[in-house]
Amino acid sequence: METPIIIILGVTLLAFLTWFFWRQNTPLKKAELPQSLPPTQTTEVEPINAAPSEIAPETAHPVLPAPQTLQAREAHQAPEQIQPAALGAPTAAPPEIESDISLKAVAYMPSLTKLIEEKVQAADLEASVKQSLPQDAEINQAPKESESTFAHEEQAVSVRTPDVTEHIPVENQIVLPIAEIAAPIPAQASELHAQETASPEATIIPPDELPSVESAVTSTKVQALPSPEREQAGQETDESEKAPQRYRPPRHNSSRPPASRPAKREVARPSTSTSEAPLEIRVRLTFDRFNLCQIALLPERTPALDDEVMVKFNGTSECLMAQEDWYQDLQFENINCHLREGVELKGTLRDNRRVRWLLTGRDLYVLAQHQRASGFVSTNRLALGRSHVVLCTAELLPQVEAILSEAGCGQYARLDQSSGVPVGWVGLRGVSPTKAMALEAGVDPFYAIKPAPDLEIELEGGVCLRNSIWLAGYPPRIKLLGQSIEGVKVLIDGKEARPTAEGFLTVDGYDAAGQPHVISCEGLSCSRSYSIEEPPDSWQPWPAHEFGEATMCGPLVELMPAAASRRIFSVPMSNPLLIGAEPGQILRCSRRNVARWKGFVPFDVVWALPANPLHCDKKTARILQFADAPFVSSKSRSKAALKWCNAVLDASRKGLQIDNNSPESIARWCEYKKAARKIWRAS
Amino acid sequence: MTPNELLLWLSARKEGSWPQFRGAVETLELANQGEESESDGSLPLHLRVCFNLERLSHVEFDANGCEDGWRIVPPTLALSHHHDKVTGVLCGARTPKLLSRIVQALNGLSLERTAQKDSPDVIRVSAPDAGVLMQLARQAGISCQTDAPTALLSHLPLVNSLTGWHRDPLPNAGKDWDVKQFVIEKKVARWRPLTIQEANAPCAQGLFRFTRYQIPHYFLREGNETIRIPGAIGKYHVLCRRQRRVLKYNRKECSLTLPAVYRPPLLTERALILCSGFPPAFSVVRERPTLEYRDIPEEVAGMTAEALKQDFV
Repeated sequence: METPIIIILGVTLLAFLTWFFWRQNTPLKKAELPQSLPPTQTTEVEPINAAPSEIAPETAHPVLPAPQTLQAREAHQAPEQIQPAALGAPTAAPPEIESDISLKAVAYMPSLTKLIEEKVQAADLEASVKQSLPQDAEINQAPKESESTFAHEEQAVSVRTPDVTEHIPVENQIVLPIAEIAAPIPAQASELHAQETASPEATIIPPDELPSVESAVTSTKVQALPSPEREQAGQETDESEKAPQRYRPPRHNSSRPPASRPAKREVARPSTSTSEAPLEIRVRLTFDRFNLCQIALLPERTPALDDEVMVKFNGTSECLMAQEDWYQDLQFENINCHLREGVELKGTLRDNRRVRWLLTGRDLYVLAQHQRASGFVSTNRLALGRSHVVLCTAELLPQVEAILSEAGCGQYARLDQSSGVPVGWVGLRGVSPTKAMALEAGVDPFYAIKPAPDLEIELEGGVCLRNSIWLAGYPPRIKLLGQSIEGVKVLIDGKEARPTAEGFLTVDGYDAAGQPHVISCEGLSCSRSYSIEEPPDSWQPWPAHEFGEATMCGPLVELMPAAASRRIFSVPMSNPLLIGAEPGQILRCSRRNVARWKGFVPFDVVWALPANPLHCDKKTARILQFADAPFVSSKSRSKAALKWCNAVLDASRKGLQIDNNSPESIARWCEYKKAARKIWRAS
Repeated sequence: MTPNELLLWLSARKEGSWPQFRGAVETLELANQGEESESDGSLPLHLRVCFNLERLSHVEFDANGCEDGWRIVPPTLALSHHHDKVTGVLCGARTPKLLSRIVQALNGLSLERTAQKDSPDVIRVSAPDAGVLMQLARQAGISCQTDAPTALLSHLPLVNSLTGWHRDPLPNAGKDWDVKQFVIEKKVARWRPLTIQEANAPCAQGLFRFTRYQIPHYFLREGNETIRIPGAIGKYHVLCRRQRRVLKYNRKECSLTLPAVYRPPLLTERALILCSGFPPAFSVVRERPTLEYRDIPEEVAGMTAEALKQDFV
């Protein structure tokens, strides 16, 4: 194995040196540029120093620090591209191949020279473009190193070059999904999977392969070469407010036959530490109780982002309020335009990191139910057996319906503006494909509505506590989606699953709490796991609200120690003057327009007197007794004690009767009266 | 999904952030059953559910110990005394096990479960006296609060007491502010738009609402002081100053009625709701949206009026 590596390294070095010296000694003339381009080519060049938001993801390769390997490149790919290897997809190549660029080059010795030639042409073109651009474009402030990935046939070779690849013609920038780079996948499904999961934004399509529906893609980009469109765009587009680019379906190579592939699972994106890469904006469609649909945009949120982010959009400020996985959905009046043209939101986090969200404009959206959002959320592609909503422009409707018919989508409802669908768009609700469809070679503009034959294990319903953990008593429903599921034997915890009447899969104990449950398809690497968790059984109160002598938590009221002796007391409003057994224990109830007063009293009430005993009507007014407590002597001669004495003596002077008028009550009242008189005289 | 499952989810998670709550409302696909005519109908679903959970004493939001987030209240039987019986309303965390324990401890009492819009089912137990319900709570292993409405109302500060609130200046710059002043003209109260400069003028007095990004902030200007207070308390403070009465108590029906625009402050409303266990009924009387709280004992109505510095109409 070592000899070929040495040879390749030698050849690479030689070629690089050749190119380098040739490059140094070959000045370019501006006039040569048009001739250097094939007649069918168009060239799109972004200013090197443009902000990430200004560079279309298709053309903006991530700028990585040297040294760089394919793994490092993987880190900048959409997570879906990394997924097959991570999930143990049926890939045959050993892991070390992924990191060994030289080994890949061995198989492409004949292509290497050609690649280098292309590279040189690219460098030449870039130099020409630099000369052709005005000085204020500030090209020279570009990063010093960047990586370009050239693709040839089905493999890719990554070559490091100094500072030129930002301006490689689009035609030369073909990035295959990393899964294909990592290892040859013989199965057709792997091809489809790679197609499906590849970030569309990372795939550059030759213009001649662009379908008609995508023809508007390039119109929003800054063209390096003069053209009427470019000039017009330059006049109409403010540099700081460039329209976001449009979506391009991934490239498909028909040489690989489709086959079964493992279930595609969404992998959480790594948290945005630098926030250089744009975050996703999904389209979300919800139906209200009148079946009117509402379309909103759902910016993605990662844990590294703030709960509130101020963003700029079309010159106005919006505040994004966080949910767990998303920010609150944004609703726009002219959502029809935003769906076509895309949306870009730019903001700055509290720690001054910049962040942006991007929705690439498109004419066709597929929306499906999402585990972490209600309603229907935009997804890559139709999945077999799942119900979707398809949103397409009115012009595309005949073609879309023809394809859906081929895919076995029999019964779906068409939604128009009367159902809340934006002007110029049509919604198709209940699109549930039953047949997989092959993609066209190259770029299939209807990629999104051609379902792959993939098998997928779906967990739906129940009460999901977090990630793959469900609440005991509310387990998920297990469903197998995909083509040819008849022959697939599904195992749950090693036991063969049986289908229920509703089409869900189950085995005894699938909803038991404890160990994780594993669902797998026999003979395939398609698997998924989940856990069931018992809810807690104890919750502690805490002082959620504090007011003076009490704290509150829900309905619970906890009195502070000083007020712990207080108890609720109710008395008719006719007798609001409350008297305790000890001098000083007196409380006048607050005035209320009700028959009875109720509240906390800081002592045990023995008597309740009329509000003003001396001036009440003695025919009707009475003294109320609430306890048969004896007088408690006290040396206190406070103001309250004197008030206590006056109240008792006033009631006595007026000759008020005790309500129950029993001998015991009369005797007790006399005791209080004597004590009050004694205190009053002493004072 | 229903709010019952949401309450289960909250009970299992115990506490979390506001984004997590919003995410749960999204993920659990809470059925949007909001009536357009409801007083909260204009609010988003997650806010309606949040307010209801808070009013019904199930969850505390943005309180001490759960700032910028939420925390589930421990399961509690909140007792309310009526003429001939005592009613216990189940508040706080719920799990299937807990509910089955309560059912087992009923001991002949009947448990009443009523479905609600945008809030979990109301679960109530009635008994001739409080002791029976306290025993039930003990057996089920949950907390019990005797005479919960009175206990709450007795310790709330009066609306005209502004000592506990922060003194904050009015925002005096920023183009995104929507500024309004609460004005009472004859029998009509409304929010009158004004500029940020007008609100900051030295002579400007009263209750002001500064809204930015759909988040309202309320400020009360009295004399030289500017106090940041909850909107509902601010409104009742203004009513108190203007000596306007808005509460209507029907002794026969034991119902307390008030204009929807004057929804009571959170803890006062919580006390009123705990009397019956049910959120207020919304209706339009003489073209005015009205809230009606039912099963309110007269003493509790009186305490409410006192806390709000009101007298009955």
